[in-house]
Amino acid sequence: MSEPPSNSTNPTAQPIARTKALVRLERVTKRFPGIVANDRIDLTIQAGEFHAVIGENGAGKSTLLNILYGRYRPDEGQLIFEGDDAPCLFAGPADAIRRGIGLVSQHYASIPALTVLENVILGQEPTTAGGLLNVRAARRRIGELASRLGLSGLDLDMRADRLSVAAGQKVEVLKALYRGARLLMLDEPTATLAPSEADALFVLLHELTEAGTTLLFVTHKLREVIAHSDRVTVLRRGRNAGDFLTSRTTEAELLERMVGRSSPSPMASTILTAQAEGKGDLSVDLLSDSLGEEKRSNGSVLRVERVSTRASGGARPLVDVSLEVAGGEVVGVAGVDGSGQRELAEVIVGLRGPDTGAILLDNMSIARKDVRERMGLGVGFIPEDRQRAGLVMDFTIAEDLLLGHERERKCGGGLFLRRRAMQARADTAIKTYDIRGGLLGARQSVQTLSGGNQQKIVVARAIESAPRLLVASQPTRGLDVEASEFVYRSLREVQERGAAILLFSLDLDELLAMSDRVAVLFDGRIVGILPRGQATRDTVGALMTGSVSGSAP
Amino acid sequence: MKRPSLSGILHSRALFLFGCVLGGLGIAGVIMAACGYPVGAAYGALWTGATGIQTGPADGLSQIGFVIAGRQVHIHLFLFAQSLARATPLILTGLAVAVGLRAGLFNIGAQGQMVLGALGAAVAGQAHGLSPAIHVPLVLLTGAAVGACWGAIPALLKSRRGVHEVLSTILLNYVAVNLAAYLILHGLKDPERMAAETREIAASAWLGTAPFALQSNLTGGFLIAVVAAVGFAALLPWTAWGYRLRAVGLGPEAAEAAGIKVDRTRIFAMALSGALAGAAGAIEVMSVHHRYVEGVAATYGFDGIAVALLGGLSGIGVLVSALFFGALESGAAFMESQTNVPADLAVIVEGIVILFAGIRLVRRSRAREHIEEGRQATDVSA
Amino acid sequence: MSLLDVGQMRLILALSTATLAGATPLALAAMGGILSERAGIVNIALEGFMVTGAFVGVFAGRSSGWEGLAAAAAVGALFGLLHGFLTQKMRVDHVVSGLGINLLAAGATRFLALRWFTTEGVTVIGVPPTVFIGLAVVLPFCVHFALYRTRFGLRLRAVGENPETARMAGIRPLPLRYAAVGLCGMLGGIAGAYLSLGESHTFSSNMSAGKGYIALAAVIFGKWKPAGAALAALLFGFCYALQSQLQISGKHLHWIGIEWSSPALLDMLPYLMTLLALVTVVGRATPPAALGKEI
Repeated sequence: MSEPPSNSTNPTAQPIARTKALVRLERVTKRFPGIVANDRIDLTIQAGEFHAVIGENGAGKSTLLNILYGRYRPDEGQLIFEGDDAPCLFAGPADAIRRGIGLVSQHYASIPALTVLENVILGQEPTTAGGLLNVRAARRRIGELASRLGLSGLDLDMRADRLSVAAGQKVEVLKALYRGARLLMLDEPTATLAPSEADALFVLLHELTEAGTTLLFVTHKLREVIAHSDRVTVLRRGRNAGDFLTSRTTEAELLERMVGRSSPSPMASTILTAQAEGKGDLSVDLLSDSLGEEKRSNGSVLRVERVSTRASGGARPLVDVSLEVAGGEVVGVAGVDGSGQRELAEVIVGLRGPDTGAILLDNMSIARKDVRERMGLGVGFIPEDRQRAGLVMDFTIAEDLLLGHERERKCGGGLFLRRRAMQARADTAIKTYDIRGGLLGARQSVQTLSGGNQQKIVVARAIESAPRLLVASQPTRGLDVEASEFVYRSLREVQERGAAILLFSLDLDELLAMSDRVAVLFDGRIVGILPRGQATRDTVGALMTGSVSGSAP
Repeated sequence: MKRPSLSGILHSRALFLFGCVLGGLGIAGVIMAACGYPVGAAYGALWTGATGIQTGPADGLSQIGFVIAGRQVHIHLFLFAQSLARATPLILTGLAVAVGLRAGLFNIGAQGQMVLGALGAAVAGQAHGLSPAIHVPLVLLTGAAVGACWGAIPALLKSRRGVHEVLSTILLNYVAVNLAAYLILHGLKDPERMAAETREIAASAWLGTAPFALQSNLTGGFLIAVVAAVGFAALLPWTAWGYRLRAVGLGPEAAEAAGIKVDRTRIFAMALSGALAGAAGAIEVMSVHHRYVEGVAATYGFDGIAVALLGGLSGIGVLVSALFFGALESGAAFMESQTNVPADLAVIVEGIVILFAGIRLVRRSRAREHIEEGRQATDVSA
Repeated sequence: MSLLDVGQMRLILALSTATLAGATPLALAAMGGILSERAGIVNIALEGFMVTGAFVGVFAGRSSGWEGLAAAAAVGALFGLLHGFLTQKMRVDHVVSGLGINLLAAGATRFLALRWFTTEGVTVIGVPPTVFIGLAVVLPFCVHFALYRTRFGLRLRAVGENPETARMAGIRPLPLRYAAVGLCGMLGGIAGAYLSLGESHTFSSNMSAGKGYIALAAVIFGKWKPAGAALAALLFGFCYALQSQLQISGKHLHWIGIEWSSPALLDMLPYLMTLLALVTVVGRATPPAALGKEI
């Protein structure tokens, strides 16, 4: 490890004198098989502050939250609450809730099949004698809280899966407050929100701190930390890499602590800096600038014309979607989570049939072709859920690389598999794409690989066959800087070969940095397509919430 | 409802499974003792019935004597052959369940597929004037085809209408049994018999009995079953179809996204599953009863589930576990005749073995989450 | 002047009582199935619970039917807890555990019956069937009330939908699941006891004859809701009743070359109807989201 935890050497790390500590973590360590997720973390949360924890994916943020919420028990170290002398031991979330800790997390959001009311009261149900639910009392209490949170119009008897993403987020806050949270922990709460929705959430959060609630805000977005927090703790490789007063630090300093000095990641840093500076319209883009306009003008590779789909099984129907991607061009698709991104990607690769409209690849209609035929014609796909749709987790690296190519003799397929060819191909891919993480090489089970290395296999498979069109859905979700860097580089390579790329991402900064044009989906419709010069956080963000309608070229 | 976690079952853990078998026999022994049966004598008889091995010198044509550690021992070939005969349908139904599970479908319907396969075979067996070289395969294939059609139904219902296969196969079992009963009552019944049975099949469709145990039920059907098991064992790792089958079972969404037709693969797998169960029925008809009789499928279809799970869904594993279950059931029948201990003891052992064999010591979802959480952290330092 | 003659009246009366009688064990077991499945535990083991209940009812009910009933409920609950332990603590797949328990129950009851009952079987006085029928009528309302109006019910549903979220709300999923599957075993045992103590006053080894599976089908047919499952049970009961009445009457219904009054066809009816319902009406009903999954 290059540097020791540095909070002691940092002059800005002194506790703020006027407040007192609400919770103190002392040398908290949590190990999982083969890894130390939290390594001797010291952290003090002051009462009433807006405390941010920042770190890249895999830095140990969620583990920390889970320890504070009683879900994981630390292997070493202790939590000390307020003025307590003895460290407190949480046997489970129930204890944490009792001590006034609330957690807002996408992973444990509302239960879709229950009503909003049932979701909120779950665990602390007001009852009359004999365990009967006292719905009237619940309604009264929730009503009061809801009006405080600007949710007065909320229908409590609605099924929770009908809430919008933004309203759902607020209901999560409501839930925590209903349970009497004094320390509210939020795990990447803005990840799926449009910029304006995120802003509204921050307004609400500031109101809560005014009223005395303590906030622990976990994110990987520098911008949010700089704009909103009082203090910030940086996590890196499971360690506390520094505590800072937000007013006395800079993005550059935080970024350096987050990624480490030696990080060889020009592109990812660019994107992270863009986040920090709050500008998405990158005039200086490291790699795409090397690409001349002429390369992009070699005709449209993908044309989607007035495609509509029916609603089925909770899928968002697409309405009249038209889109064009030229060779050598990256078109990014922005939108609030669930606006139809998944459905659009699936329609294009052939997993979902369009009910009306046309899809043309190199001027040839592919709407009636199945997934395999489209792949044969040059459609590559990086699915958004790598562990479910990207890989067969119980396969070996060699087997997963064969997926979809099991009929091709050159890949080791055919009626009878040719194991040696499979093996050789996998060995090459392991070298070319630097897939790490096993003594067994190509026979290593994919399950034991890190997220980044798993994604390398998915990417390798998608670009190996030199696609004309690459559909990449959330290709960097959950990846650390290094692995993200690999993905960006691979996308650029595909682009330079003259292929078209359709990029879906919830990370607006990534999208703006990578795309030549940005299409915005709202409610299953394309509400605007903006060229690079006009696509900014503000313009795209406004389109994402449907508050304005953009101009399609 | 959900299929069992495949890789949990697939883990190579022969020792653990052996322990499960011992545990099952142990608990059954306790139950026996509690009921006041002579445990030692019963298990002795069970062993003899299962393997044919008895102490004492050989004293007949069907016995082969040898000496172990100075003691005279002999193998009773009839008993041994009966165990193999009993294992024959179990190998096939076990494979049937294994094929389905490998594709991610829990086929509880091998029972019904076997019943209808047997009926189809019994009907095809009525044809006269065919040479055995044609008639035997014809009857076998008829049974397999009928089973395949019946087996494909639940897969179709699942892909078209989202009906869960566990439920539909259970229901189809009852439909199959009653359908067979109806067809026997209204048309196929042998008028000379009291019982609801078809006429006897032509001798050209009989499978010959093993020459070393002519009184037994052991026929060439056993070889057919063994070939099927070996074929299945080769199919999975060495062919593109086996690869697709595994991909669909282990990661249906990933398979679909990579262009593998999940529904089609599953329908085909279930048809193959039904064909294997149907072939089991046909072989029972051609080897043992020579006609369709009520109860021709006994509980082989359900036992196939136990066989498949204990055999780890692999061809060779199924073969071994079917031999074990065949020996157990055959031995139990012998035990009942010798010691009056009810042969149902075998069912108790089977139940306990399934429950033990299903135990998974690692919590999978948690383990994966930890790996994911942990590995991400190492990514940075890697 | 009545609209129906005496014969028709008698037939309708006979049909409706037979329907109720046929539906009773299904409804009882189905209510257990709902509790278990809404808590997230697949319960194919209902069949085993019923066989066990039928056996224990007779075994313990030789002096008093009520004792037999209590014992059947208790042993059923124990089997339920065993299913819970295996699926929750030992992480056995729910379907595998259910099948194993069914095998164990079938084997053990036959084994023990051969040992402890004479070859002709044992006859017992039993418990009046109206007790079971009354219970079966009241129970769906109770289960509905418990599921939707009590804290226990809300938590049970939450655990069946997403145990991890429930845990994050401070609920411990495991005790709830044990409670649910224990109650399920108890009701399965009582349903089995109805077959032996209430109906036939003796035990025979194949007396549940797949009724546990049919009860599970009723649960799914009824979309995991008590009222729906109860109605499905009634429908199946009606099939049984129709079959026995037709057999008693000796009438033949022959149409397009098929003997519709054949007992084999009538036996098939509930299963075919369930299949048909699954294909058409029920369609892609959504089961509890965490059904069969590990916590």
